[in-house]
Amino acid sequence: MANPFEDDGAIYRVLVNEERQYSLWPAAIPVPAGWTAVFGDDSRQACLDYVEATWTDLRPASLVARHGSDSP
Amino acid sequence: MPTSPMVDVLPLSPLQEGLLFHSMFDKDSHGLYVAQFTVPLSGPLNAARLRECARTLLSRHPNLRVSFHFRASGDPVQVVHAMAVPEWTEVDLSEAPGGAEAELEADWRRGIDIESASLVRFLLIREGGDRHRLVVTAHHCVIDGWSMALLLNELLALYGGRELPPAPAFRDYLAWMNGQDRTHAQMRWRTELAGLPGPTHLAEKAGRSPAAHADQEMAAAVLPQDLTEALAARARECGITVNTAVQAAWAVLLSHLTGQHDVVFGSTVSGRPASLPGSDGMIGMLVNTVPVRVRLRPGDSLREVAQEIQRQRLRLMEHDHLGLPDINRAIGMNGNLFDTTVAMDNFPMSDYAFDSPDGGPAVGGVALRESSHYPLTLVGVPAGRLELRLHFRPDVFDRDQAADWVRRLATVLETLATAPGTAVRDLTAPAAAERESLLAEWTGAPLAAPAGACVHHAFAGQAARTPDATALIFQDERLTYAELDERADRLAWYLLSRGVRAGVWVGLHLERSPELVTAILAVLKAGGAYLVLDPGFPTERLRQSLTGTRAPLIVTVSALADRLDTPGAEILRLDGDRARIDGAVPAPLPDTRPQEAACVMFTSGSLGRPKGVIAPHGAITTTLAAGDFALFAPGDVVLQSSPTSWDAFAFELFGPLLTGGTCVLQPGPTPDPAAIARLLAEHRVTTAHFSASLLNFLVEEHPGLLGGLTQLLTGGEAASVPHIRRITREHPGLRVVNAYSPLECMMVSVWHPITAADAGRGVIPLGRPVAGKGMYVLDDDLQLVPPGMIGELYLTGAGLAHGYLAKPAYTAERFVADPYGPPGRRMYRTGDLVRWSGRGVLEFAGRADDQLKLRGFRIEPGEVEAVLTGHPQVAGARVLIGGNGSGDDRLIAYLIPADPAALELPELRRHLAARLPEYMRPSALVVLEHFPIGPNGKLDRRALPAPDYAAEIGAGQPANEREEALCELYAQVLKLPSVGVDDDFFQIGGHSLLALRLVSRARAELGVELSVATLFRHPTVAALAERLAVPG
Repeated sequence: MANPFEDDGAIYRVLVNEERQYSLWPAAIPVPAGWTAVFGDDSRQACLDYVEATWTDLRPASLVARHGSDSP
Repeated sequence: MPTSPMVDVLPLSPLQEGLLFHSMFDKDSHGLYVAQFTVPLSGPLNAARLRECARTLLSRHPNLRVSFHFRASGDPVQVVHAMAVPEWTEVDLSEAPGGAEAELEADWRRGIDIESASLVRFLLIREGGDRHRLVVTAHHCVIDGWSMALLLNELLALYGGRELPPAPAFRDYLAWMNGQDRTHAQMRWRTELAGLPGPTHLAEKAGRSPAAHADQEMAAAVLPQDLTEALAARARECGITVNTAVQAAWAVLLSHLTGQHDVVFGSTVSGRPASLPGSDGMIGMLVNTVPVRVRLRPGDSLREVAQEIQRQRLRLMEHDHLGLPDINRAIGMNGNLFDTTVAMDNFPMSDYAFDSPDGGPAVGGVALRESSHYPLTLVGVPAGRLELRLHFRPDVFDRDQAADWVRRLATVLETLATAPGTAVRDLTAPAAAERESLLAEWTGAPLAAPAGACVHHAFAGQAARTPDATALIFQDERLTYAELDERADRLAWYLLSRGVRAGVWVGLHLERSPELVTAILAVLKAGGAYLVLDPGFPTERLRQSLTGTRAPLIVTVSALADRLDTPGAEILRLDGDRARIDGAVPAPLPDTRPQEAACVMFTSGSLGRPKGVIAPHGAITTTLAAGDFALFAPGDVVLQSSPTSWDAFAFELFGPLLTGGTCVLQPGPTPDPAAIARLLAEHRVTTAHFSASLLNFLVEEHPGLLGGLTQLLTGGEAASVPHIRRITREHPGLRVVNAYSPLECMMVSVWHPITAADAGRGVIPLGRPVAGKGMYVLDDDLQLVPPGMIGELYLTGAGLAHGYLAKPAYTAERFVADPYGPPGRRMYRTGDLVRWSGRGVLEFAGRADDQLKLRGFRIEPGEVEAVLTGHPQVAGARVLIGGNGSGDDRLIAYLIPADPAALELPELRRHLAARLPEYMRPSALVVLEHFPIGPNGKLDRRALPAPDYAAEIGAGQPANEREEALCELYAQVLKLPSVGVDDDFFQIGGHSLLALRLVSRARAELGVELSVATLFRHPTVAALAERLAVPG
């Protein structure tokens, strides 16, 4: 099977939810509820590069808000 | 062998060569590639005259009185015999009404030996009155189904006394074949099949081990007349044939069943070229099976799919003469490109009559019985009402399954007739109601208890309820809940004073001990999160784990402290710094939320570095609160032996500690079977969890060890059926649970209480989701896959990790948006292929990414293992690929014999050869006392011994120069010091690739023309030398 997240030749976008969690997403598939596209359409690698540069704190946003962003 | 003078020698068509090769390959099975044609006759019959007509038939068609031989070169030839004496048998059953069926069956069972000189035979059964049945049984190597119909027509005409024109000569067909540009045809096939990701094998997806041979069964569906007419009209409108429509329907279903979007199956073509005059009336073996490749883009309409198949057929039609082996060679495929075929039965089954003025007996509806080496064949029977017949091997496919498939095919054809614009993705999508139920079933029960406590809160609550109960046992030490809680509080106060708080990582460089447990609770109480730094791990690996956490503090003991290389982190020695810790001022503990990270656990990463999975408190507590896969109660005694770096550690520790039970810590870093045996007995352990490999070992080496348990969980890898069978037999009251979860979803996500019936059936299911968790089985477009179909498993709900430590991109590609859950929820894609079984449980169907690949073949090692363990003398088996990766890779089987004295490898090899195709048979069978278990409790592949082919070498000395030369050549090709004359090439490390090497070396160095087929037939030096000595 060709997983829709593993196709280097396909077009992707980057989604984010309210917890500021990011998801790679195949551009050909409708964006699920509760998610917003913030990057793309672009290549898989470009999307991953965007995530790598943008998502600096893996904690859900509600936790970051509670403790401040100073924690590692 | 020839019994009469030969009059001619003919070459073989490529198709005959292929059939001959396969028949030789399975030479013990005379039932392969045989056709049995039964003609009911009623009315007065002159048997002697009919027999004479049969003789005339054979004299008209030299290609029906041949036998097959090999030249010394290894090339096969067909030798035509002068005598046209058909094998003719008459059986009188007029006194035994109803005996004809048994006679037919006996004739069918007899089969036809491809090496005999009687490849067509006649049987006349006389039933009561003037009723007869004429049975013509023939090997497909000489005649195809269409020719059988022609043969019958000729026979009837001859009986009627008609003078027949000379028969079109099969020799002309061979000459025509010889004149075809095979290179050009190969190029065209290569172009057409370019980029095909791999073969399409439905049988291996079925997950069952086929028996050696099994009669096919049939499931059928009939389209109503109006629908048949609508389909025909639609086909005309689309410019396709009904055959193409049936192929399109099969392509859609096949894609769905295999999860592949680029599928290939076989199509039976008549092989009668328009450019060869008289070919349509020729009697012989002309039919061919060629690949049909179909790409199914989800958005394509069914009409487009069908039309593209039609165009492809038109492009390739003039190249249909190429045999499958040639097509495979053209695309570099080594093995079967497909295992399902589609054919149209254009074959006249009625309207036969004796062509004579005075008539003759009336001819009833004829029947054709054929064997096929494909496990599944779809036949469309065009008539007023189109019939779909699915012939399948019942040992490979379920009857219910086949019946379901043929119904689905009918539905797809109905859609093509009525709504051809329907997109492929909508064709097999579950209906709305089915979808609802799938989503409901794939979600675990709601959590009974309010979810989402913090781990340390849940522990403190338990400590308040059962302060004097024993929480921990370690060697001679026992700690009550109150004592453990008090120690953890004290350390937490100190950690707070050192700056630990929410979001701060603390490394715990401690052996498994009460100190480790105290430190874990203390870190959590202080609001931080822990990572266990297993002192048994290499320093470099610990350093890699710490990178990314930037842990400012590491808790250890003096004896271990200098093994750390962590510049910048403060080192806290629980022994050396005791006074400071004890002097910590009581402080209020922070208000931690269940969403906070509790720990990070490391697993090997695909990028060659460990990757850390960050789990929040809630992942641990909600999983444990599910209360279904494991039952914990006060008074339970739980063994903790899994490595501290696993999520199973958290399960075995917190399972009891959050419910009032006692946790027995096994000393030492890795599971120790002897210690486990001792602890289970000494502390009356009630619940244990072992990885499958460890459990198998324990069952083999410490029988009786499980006797005191009430609850046993296993997981981490596929459960071994023979071991499970033994456990369920010996401990009928024991609750045995198969527990599955990736680390990313915490401890257990899908579970199944194993029954004796599961063990008997040979499949241990993964089961159903744990309460609070959910799962989806999705296809390549993230669509829900209906039961029975393979898809990839996605997990969601409680238990999901935050992601991978310091790897945001990798997190974003594995933890992805959940299209079926509440808004904004994520799901984890496991990479595991599964199927929702008819029995309502999830079954494992392999990995999406780690499948074994050997010389272009996809091999499910589980299938080979299942065949091995299906042998009564094999207690356990593991199959993997060994070699240096440079084409010398071989499939290797490691075996645990049930009784080492009784296991006979030659017998086992025969067992395998009877059940598996050559490429799936292990080159080496290595017998072990037990499987080596690595530090993580799983099979340690590196500790497996390499197979010793040299040890298999026999003492047979060469008797002549040719044998000596061949022995030398065998040894060189197989890289062995020497080879005996009686050693089987394929049992001392030889495989198909090396066979090719041997053949080419034999040609170059010995001047000997040898075919791979000959080598397969004569795999020892002695047999081969004898073969080569026979003059062509």
